[in-house]
Amino acid sequence: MRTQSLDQFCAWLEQTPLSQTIQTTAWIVPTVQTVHILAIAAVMGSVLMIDLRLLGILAREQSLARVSERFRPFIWWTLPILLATGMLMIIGEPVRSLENPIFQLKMALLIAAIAATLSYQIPLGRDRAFWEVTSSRRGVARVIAIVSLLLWVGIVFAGRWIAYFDNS
Amino acid sequence: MELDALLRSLEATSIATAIRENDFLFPWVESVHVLAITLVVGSIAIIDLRLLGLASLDRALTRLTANVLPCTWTAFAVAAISGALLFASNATVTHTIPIFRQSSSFWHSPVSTWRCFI
Repeated sequence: MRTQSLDQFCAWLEQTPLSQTIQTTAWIVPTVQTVHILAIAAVMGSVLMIDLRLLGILAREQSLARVSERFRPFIWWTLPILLATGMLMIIGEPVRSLENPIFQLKMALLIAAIAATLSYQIPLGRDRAFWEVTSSRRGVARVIAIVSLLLWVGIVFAGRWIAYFDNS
Repeated sequence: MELDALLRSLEATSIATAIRENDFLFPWVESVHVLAITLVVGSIAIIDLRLLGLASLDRALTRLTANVLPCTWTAFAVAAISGALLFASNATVTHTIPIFRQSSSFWHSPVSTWRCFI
């Protein structure tokens, strides 16, 4: 997706003092990227633990609610860090990110991954045993886990592929 | 020099050549490498926070390591293999990068720490 107004917005953003600072200070982008990938590691580790529990592979001696409670904060508290560091990279190179089809795909996958996360956490918040009472619910939980894992893996892959669709 | 000859022959292998010359193979292997690293760091952090007494205190350390370390080791194996492939595809250049030399010696210390658990 590439529209005239997006072109204009990118052109404006590139000229802002913050963007200029990011573009001309050599250490900012590598530092921000390092923080971004460490934050992704925290999310991926937590997502993996919850999803493997949803699949019934790990930590079966603990309730899903307990496992989710332990790792959920790492997902939600890390997302703002990812958002902030991601935005700094966007401000530094708006055309390379905002107008990149892979970046747009990554954002769509992110929205879907957040929706998948909420889809098991919201019922779990109302009823701690929600996903464990019937076999059909256990089946749905497994499907959510697989979809969630695929979405997060897709986000990491898309993040790397942005660099290979350089359209700036 | 012997090392140069070795790196050149590594770079000339068919798999290294394929990764270097194919437009999409390098990014695919690199994506797998990055994914594996995030899983190594993310999972070992769970164990480290438990060892520090900061998280997962309601679970016995042995239970936690039995669950988490297989994920860490699997991800580590994938990271090592994909990293070796990326290195091989550009061996003569990569081995001259100072940061690369440091990072490949750094991983000996986490590996020896994890060995305490197995």
